[in-house]
Parts: sequence; C-alpha cells; structure tokens
Amino acid sequence: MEIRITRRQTGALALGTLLTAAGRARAADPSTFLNGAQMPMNLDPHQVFDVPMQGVMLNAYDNLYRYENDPPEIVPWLADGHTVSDDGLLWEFRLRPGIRFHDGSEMTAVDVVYSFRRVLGLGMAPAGAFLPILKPDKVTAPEPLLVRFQLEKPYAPFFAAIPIVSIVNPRAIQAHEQIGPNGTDWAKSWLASNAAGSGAYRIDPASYTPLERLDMTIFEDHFYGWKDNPKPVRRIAFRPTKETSTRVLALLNGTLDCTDNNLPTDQVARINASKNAVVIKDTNMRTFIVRMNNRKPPFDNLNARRAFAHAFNYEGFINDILGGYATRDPTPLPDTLWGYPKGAKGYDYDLVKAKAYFDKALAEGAPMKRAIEIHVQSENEQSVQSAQLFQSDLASIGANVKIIGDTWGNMITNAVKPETAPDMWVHWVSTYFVDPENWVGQMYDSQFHGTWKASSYYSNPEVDVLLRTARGLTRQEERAPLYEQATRQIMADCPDIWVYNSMQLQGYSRRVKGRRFCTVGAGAEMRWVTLEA
Amino acid sequence: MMPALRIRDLKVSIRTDAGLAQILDGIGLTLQPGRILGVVGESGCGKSTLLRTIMGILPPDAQIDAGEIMLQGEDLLAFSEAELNATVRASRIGFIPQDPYLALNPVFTIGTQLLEVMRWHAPADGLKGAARRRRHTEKLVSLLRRMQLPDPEGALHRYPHQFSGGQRQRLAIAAALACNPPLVIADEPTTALDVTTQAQTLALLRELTEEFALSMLFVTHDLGVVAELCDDLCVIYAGQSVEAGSAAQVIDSPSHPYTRALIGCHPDRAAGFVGIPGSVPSPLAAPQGCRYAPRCSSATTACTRRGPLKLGAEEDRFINCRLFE
Amino acid sequence: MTRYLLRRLLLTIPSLFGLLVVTFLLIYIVPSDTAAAMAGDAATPEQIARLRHEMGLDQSVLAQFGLYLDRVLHLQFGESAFSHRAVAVDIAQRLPATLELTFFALFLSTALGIPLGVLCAVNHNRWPDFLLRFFSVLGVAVAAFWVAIMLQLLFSMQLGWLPLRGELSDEMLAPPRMTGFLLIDSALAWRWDAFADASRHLVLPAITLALGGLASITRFTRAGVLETLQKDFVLYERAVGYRRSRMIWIYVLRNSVTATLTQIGLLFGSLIAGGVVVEAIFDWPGIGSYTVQAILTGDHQVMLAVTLMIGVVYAGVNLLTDLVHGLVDPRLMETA
Repeated sequence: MEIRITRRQTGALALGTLLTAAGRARAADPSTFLNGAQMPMNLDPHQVFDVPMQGVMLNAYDNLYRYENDPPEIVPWLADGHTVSDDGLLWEFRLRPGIRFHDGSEMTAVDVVYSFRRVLGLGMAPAGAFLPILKPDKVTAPEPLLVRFQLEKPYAPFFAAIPIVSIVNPRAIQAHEQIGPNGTDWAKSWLASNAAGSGAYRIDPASYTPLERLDMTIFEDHFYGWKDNPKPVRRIAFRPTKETSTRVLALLNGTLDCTDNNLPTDQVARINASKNAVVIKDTNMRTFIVRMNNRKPPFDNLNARRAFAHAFNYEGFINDILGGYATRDPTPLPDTLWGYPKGAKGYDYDLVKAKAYFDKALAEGAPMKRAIEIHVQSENEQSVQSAQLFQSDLASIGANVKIIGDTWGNMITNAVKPETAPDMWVHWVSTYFVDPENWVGQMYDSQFHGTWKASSYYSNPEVDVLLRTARGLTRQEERAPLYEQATRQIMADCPDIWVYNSMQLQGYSRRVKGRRFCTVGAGAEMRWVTLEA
Repeated sequence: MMPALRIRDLKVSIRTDAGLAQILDGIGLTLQPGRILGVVGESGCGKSTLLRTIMGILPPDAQIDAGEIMLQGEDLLAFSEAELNATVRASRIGFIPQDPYLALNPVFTIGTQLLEVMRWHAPADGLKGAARRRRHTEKLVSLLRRMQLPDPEGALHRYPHQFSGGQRQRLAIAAALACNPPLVIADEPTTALDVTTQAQTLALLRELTEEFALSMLFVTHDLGVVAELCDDLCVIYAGQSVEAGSAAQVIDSPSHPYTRALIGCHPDRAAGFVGIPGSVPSPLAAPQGCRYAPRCSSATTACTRRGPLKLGAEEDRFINCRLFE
Repeated sequence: MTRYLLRRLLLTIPSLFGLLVVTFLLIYIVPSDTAAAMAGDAATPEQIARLRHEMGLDQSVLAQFGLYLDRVLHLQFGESAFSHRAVAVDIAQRLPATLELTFFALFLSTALGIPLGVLCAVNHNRWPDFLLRFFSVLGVAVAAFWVAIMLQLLFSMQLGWLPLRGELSDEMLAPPRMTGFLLIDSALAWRWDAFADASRHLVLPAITLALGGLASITRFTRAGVLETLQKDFVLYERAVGYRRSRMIWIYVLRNSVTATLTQIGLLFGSLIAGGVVVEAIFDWPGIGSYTVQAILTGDHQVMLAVTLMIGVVYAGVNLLTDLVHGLVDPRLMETA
C-alpha cells in the first residue's frame, strides 16, 4: 500500500534530511544489487506484462528481439535476424545457435513456438497485441533454428511487439502442465512461482515470496556472454519496499541500491544532496491523459471538448505539482516517437478561449452546466491532484465537475461500454511496444471501441482509414506520414486532453555504474551494471 | 485501670465543594477494658467517620481539627500512616466490617486474604517463610473451627461468594481476631444479616469477648442490639456525644432529650413509631450550641447560645445537655 | 471451567459464519473486478470475459457462496488469482511474522500499559496522572506512520542502532523454517546470531504498533483501578493493615484488570489492522501487506481466506482472554 505523503510527513522527512546530514552509509556487499523496486504479481512473463515485470523478464528471460538504448532501438537478441514477406504476412526469425537455457538444454525454434503458443493460449496481458492477428498453429518451426509466423492480416506493429514475448523452456514447464477439459493449463500456477528461462540471471525459486522478496544469481553461460561487462552484479536481491519514505531512507543508508522508478518529485533534492545516492532522470514514453467520453453530452460537442482542453493548466501542473519533471506533450503520441507531428501546437491553457468555447457550446445546446464526473485512481496522488487542479479551473468558466475516487481495475472494466464509461477519467498510457499503434492506433481507431484504451469512443472514418492503412504497411518511412496526418486530424477533433510525456525518476546508489536505460524496460535490465567497491 | 480506648473532644471536618463540613464536633467516649461499648446514632451522625478516624483511613480531603484518641495511653493521632500500619491495625485493633460480602476481596480466596493480614501483623513466633505461613494457617484453621465454620481447611481455598452471609460474617470476625488484638471495633456487623443469624452472631461475639479477653467498640444504629450485647452505651447525634452510661441504665431511664426520643422510636419499646420532628442538621450548616436544640421540645435560648454542658464525674457517665445543669 | 470454555467456543462458530457471510457480501458490493485486474491493462474484453468464466465469476452470488462454503468446510482456500499460489500456503508463510509482531506489540503495550494505568490511578488528578494521560491521548492521536518515520530517522538513520526495515538483515542466513516464527526458529536452531538480528528488526515496528495499544491499555487500567479504589474492600483492606503497595499491585489490580483484559482481546484486532500500516512502513513480510494487495487487486480468494483466518485468530485470542478472565475472576466461571 502506498500511503500518500502528507505535509506533516514531508516535514518529518525534511527534519530527517537535517538529521541524516551526518550520513551513515553501510558498507554494502559489492556483489549484490539490492533492488527496492516493485515486484510483479507473479513470476510468469506470459501472464503479467507491466513495468514491475520488466525486472524479472529482462533479467531471467530472453526474447527474440529486445529494446535497448534511449530512444529505444529494437535490436536482435536471441534471433540474429528476420525477414518479412512483401505482403507483411510471413515473418521468419533465425535463432542464434548454441543458446542454452538455465537447465543446460539448448534452445531451438520449437521452444520459441511453444513460447508463443503459450502466450496465445493463456491469452493474458502479453497476448493482447497478437490475439487478433496470430493463430497458435500459425507459429511453426520449419527448421531447428527457424521460426515462422503466418499472420492473419498485415500488421506492422507485430515486429514492435516481438520483444514482449519471453522465450521459455518447455522441458522445464511441461512436466507441470495439467490437462483439463479445455486443454492444457500451460502450468500457469507452477511458472508463477518458478522459472524456465535462459536470461543473464537465474531465479532462485526458494527465495521467492510473492511481492516480498526474490533472489537471482548470475548465469555465467548466458548466450550474450559477459565480455562487455567483466564485473557484473553476481546477485540481484529484490527487496521491494512498500513505502516511499522507507525506500528513500533505505537508499540513503545503503541498504537498497535503487528505489522504484516512480519517485515523488519532492524527494529528488534530498537524495541528490546525499553522499551515497543520486536521482536518475529519464524521459520515458508514458503519456498522461484526461479522457472525455465523446458519446456522452456535452462531450459529443467539439466546442465543449475544446473548452475543456483550454481549461487545463498544463504548465502549472507540470511545473508546480510535478516539479518540472515531465515534458509538455500536446499530442496523444510521445514526443520522442516516430510518427510524431512535428511542430504540432495543440491546446494551451487559456481560460478566455475556454470560456468562449464554453459559451459557443452552450449556444449549440450542449449541457455544459450538468454535473460532470471525473474518475481518478484514489491511491495515486498525481491522478487526484490533476483532477483537483482541473476542477478549480473548470469551475471558473462555469463547469461543474465532481471528483470520484476509483480503482484502476474498476475503471478499465467500466470503460468497455460507452454507457458505463465515466464522463472523464485520468490515466497514463505506457509503452507496451514502441510503435504509434500503441498510442493513436489503439486509442482512436473505432474498431477498438470496447477496450479501455479506446474509451473516449472517438470515431472519425477518415482517421480510421489512415490508421488501418498504416497498420497494414511494414515500412516505417511509409507509415510515419500516415500517423502524423492521423494525429493532426485527431488533435483537431480534440477527443481527449493530452497533458505530458513522463519523466522517470529513480533513486540509485552512487556505487551503481553502467546502467543502461531503455524506456520499454524502464531501465530494469541489470546485465550492464557494475557495483563499485 | 487504664481505658482500652478513650476519645476526647474529637473534631473532624471534610472539605466539600459546598464548603467545610464539620462532621465530628466533639466526640467523647471511653471504653473500659473487657467491656463492650455500643456507639449508637442515626445514619449520618458521624459513626463511620468516627471509625475511619480511629483506624486512620479518613478520605484525603478530611482533616482532624482537634481531640485525641488514646489507645492504652498512646495517642493514635500522633501516629504516622506507617506506624499505624506496623503497630496498630490488626495487631492492636481488630476490625469487623459492616458487610463482609463487600469488604472481602471477591477475586482472592479467603486463605489468601486472611493470611495476607496475618503475614504482616500476627505474631511470627520467630518463624519465617513457609514455616511461618504454616503456623499462621494452623492458627487460622483453629480459629475458623472455633467460629463453627464447616470444613475450615477447605474454607481457605474458597472465595467469599461461596459462603453464606452468616458464614462470611464469622470469617470476618475470625479475620479481626487472627492477630490477637486486645481491642475489636465492629461496624454494624449484624445489619446485613437475618434475625436468626443476627442473634447467633451476637451470642458468638459475646462469647468471644470473654474468651479472648477483648474490649469491643460496637457501632450500631440499633438500640435493640445494644441492649442485647453491650455493657455500656454512648449515644451520638450529629457528630456530638450526647449521653453515655451503662447500657441498661441509659436504655431504662434515658436522660438526654435525644436519647429519650430515640428510645421512643425503637419498635420494641414504643407502641408505634414516633418520629422525631425535623431532621438531622447538615454538617455544612450546623446550629450554634447544642446541635439537637432545633428539634428539641425542651430547648431554651441557652441551648442555642452556648455549647452543651458535660455532666458527670466520670468520663464514661455523662449527659451533654443544659437541662441537667 | 470446561463448560465455561465450551460455551465460549460454541459461541464463536456462529460469529465466524456471520463473518464469512458479511465478508463475502462486502466483496460483492465493492466494485472490483478480479478478472479485469488480473488480465492486466493490455487485455482485451474477450480475455477478461474468458478469465471471468474460468474463475466462476459469471455465476450467481449464491452459487459462488455455496462453492466457497463447500471449499472452506474442506479446508480448501483456493489459490491467489495473481501469485497462483495456494492461499493456505501464503498465509502459513506470512501469518507467523504478523503474529510475532502483534504479540510482541501486545506484550509491550500490556507490560507497560498496566503499570502506567495503575500509576495514573493512584496519582489520580496529580501531575503523573496528567502527564501520562497527555501522552496516552497523544498515543491515540498521533498517526502510526508518523511515529514510525520518526523512530526510523532517529534509531536507524541518525544513531544507526536499529535496522530500518525487514525482519532479518540481508546478509543474515535465515534459520531453517520450522514454526515460521523467526525468533522461535532461530532459538530452536541454536542460531543466536539470527535471533539477535531478528530481535533488533522487531524493535521499531513493535514499538510503533504498541503505542496505540499502550494508550488504550493505560486508559482502561486507570479507569478500572479508579473504579476498584472506590470499593468497600479497599477500605477494609486498609483498615486491617494491608501494605499499600501490595494492596494496589495485587489486590486492587486483579480486580481492575477485567476491563483491561477485554480491551486486550479487542486490541488484538486493532493491532492486526494497525499492523497493515506498520508492516508497510517497515517492510514486515506479514499478512498485512498481503491483504492490502489482495484488496487493491480484488483477489477474492485471498480476501476471504485472510478474513476468515484473522477471524479465527481473533476468536482464539478472545477465547484466551475469556479463559484468563475466568482465572482472574472465579465468579465468572460459576455463573456461566
């Protein structure tokens, strides 16, 4: 549970800064990285795909291609290359030879096939990108080291989504599968607490307590080798710390090597002032958005939507509440991604314009004065603060907004129907795969109505055509202008309020060197890291 | 012979929210050794304050303004709390409570409670620890047997609520005698009992006084009990001693108007209940002079002007009233 | 005695059943969708619907309750929707940590609260009473997390005497797991280094947790002793020459602790609840964080099992206080 930091608590922390000025760093074990970031709900990378999972899957598992560097590049990993047919339907990936799983067995194309079929068969979070375009029997291994995918329809983001799938070792898993009336259960209970990977670190299942602790030790025979990091971390100890304040204190006294990557901005100065820790800032591709339900009046009225878009104090929110640790992004796409409409101006904070649009909408008969509900994640402070800020500005132009505390699970459940979807709600869109499809494609193509990502129920046939065409092409040069054009049109239609692209703040011990950040893995890949004695 | 207990001109007041209340305003009495002195008065006349003053357990907001309490020649008022505890309570003055059901600790066995008292106050005969405790237990058991309590050994392991009212009173009497005090103070010990048990208890007390050569101060509101048990009698009214003398003499021919009225009230003696007109004055606003004067049919102006006069050559024979000047 | 306890025991069964029903209904009233949460935020509605069916969430509430009751009677608590581990195993793994912390806190607050309450009462309306009452009000009013952070800042950060978080140092090898209680396991394995380390980790969370309880035990003991001091037997015991200290600490206290004992039973429940915050701040690997996680994600099996389990422990503790109650006051067992 994350308890919000209150003013009183902040006072306590400030006092703490004074007290700890003396500094009491502990001599830490130079071979163990003490990881204070969150742990995923379980250890199976085919069931869970979120930011905490990156710390498990990027270290204990490998994938065919992997995102590295900042801005992210997709690079060959287990595969050393791929080919794609001109129609974009047939994809072939060639595995490197001699890759070994942790149990010593060699990885072949059959294992890759098993992994993809398992993802599709489980049908959970990581499957979302593949289910509409890939049938399990269309993943095959024509040769020992060749994997073939036959897609149902052209889908360019397929390649961008390839790194989502971790390759697992069927020889470790199959013994635990249970066959029921609906077929195999894919040993999902077993793998949730165990491991069957080939990654740079090996999970020690005995050390695992869900959400509490997990130890990984180095896998010397990792296919990538260790030539580029002669002094790697030998052991990763996940010690997720639930409270921000404890996490920061533990970082300061040397009992943790990193915090989570959601460090509150008010902790930055304090950590940077310490002798043994520092805050690392990375721009990631995580956009912050205020949704409007375009099917519910007054949001079916363009001028009404524009009135709201001009009433959000973007700069005030970013600078005063987030301490400047975010980039204003007036579009639905991350500003660092290809396909971004360069020079797009978007909507600015201007209550005069907002009032003008408000009155125009009112004149057109939009019920501008009805009570409008904005749903927030009550346990997330930023989500609540954004709504509070918005509420007071909207009140000044005459709109009546009520803030409703809600949970993520509940909001995405209600978002699947326009009738139950909230008037407005606040959320982030993270990078599931690095492709404009992850943002504008899945958010504004009307075929996705019924998913939380498309919960503004925006519909513009012209945009649909652009997005569908872009999705069917394989070459980025051809796709980019289509996304740019679609994005400009969407911005003109103003279905939602786009606020910022996030900056990731994570506290690190100063002994941590060689960390590489990539927005997709949130910097969780440990194989590059060295600990200074 | 030196009196077992002699109280002279005792004045005790209590601070209350309404002001200073003069609860005791000149109490005097003398208990001769080997005798039973009944102290009689209506409720609210200061009987329990008198007892608490003697035992040294007055509430914290009470203060002793004057007087002396001589126990075999020593003034108890000069004793510190620690000295009282070490040398007087239980060992020189035994105490019999009004209602042993309330006075005994409900969650400890009889043995524990009585032996706790004996541990500090009964003669140890040079014994220590377990041996002393054994000696005390034997003594207690024989005492309980003398009290005609069934199964005296077993009684030690039982709790107060497991006894009948009469048995509890006998337990309390045993407790008062356990440390061989020469003086016992009994606080209306028979009021909570039914008539038969009351008679048995009074007979027992009478026997014990002779058997253990006790002097006893017996506080009660019941003249009938005094007539049955006591050798001597001291009547108090509103914190003042009004008349004292031998029990038979005072009851047969009461002199003080209050004593006369009181005896007139007693159901055994009067044909019907004859109430005394008026009520006991509040200790916050006690009348000048004789406190009984406002209710007294024979009162003269002299009664309200000056305090009542003490008559009688001996201290245990007196009438405090101007009518007898 | 046996009849008294048996009666108490039988009385807990309907309470536990009621608890089960209420919890089950509450979970259905609170809008949370396990399937949606479980499928993750990249899932499609079809994926969610499939999961919901697999989990039996598309059946009627009554049918689901029937299924649940059936399983509970067979002591099967199912598996967590997220970790896929048997809930019974997870609870068995975490409960000892919580109990260790709770009992230690309970011990601290009782061992300190009773004497402090007595001190307050015997110094009624004098400065020790005012001082202690001030602190006991403070103890209730000040939020646990604030106290926790202050303790961490002072004892872990500034003085470096006590560890900041967790139940064992990272470099300390844990003793072999036998009872699950770290202190007991360390002692059984003759691992006094681990015992000392675990004890050091226990201090700050236990103190934090104990503070609220300390305040209420002090207040209840004070009230109990004050009430007892008005009783006739106190006057009698003074009149027959009881030593004052023995009279207060033995004879009066035992009459006064009945209210405190009831309070201790109730306190146990609030300590388990308060433990949620304390466990979060000190990263105590107990049942508290497990429960919070289950509530946030809507993990029904875990919520139900944890509630039932806490109910059983709570009933057990109250049975224990009833027993002690009966031992302290013999009148109770005869009237029952």
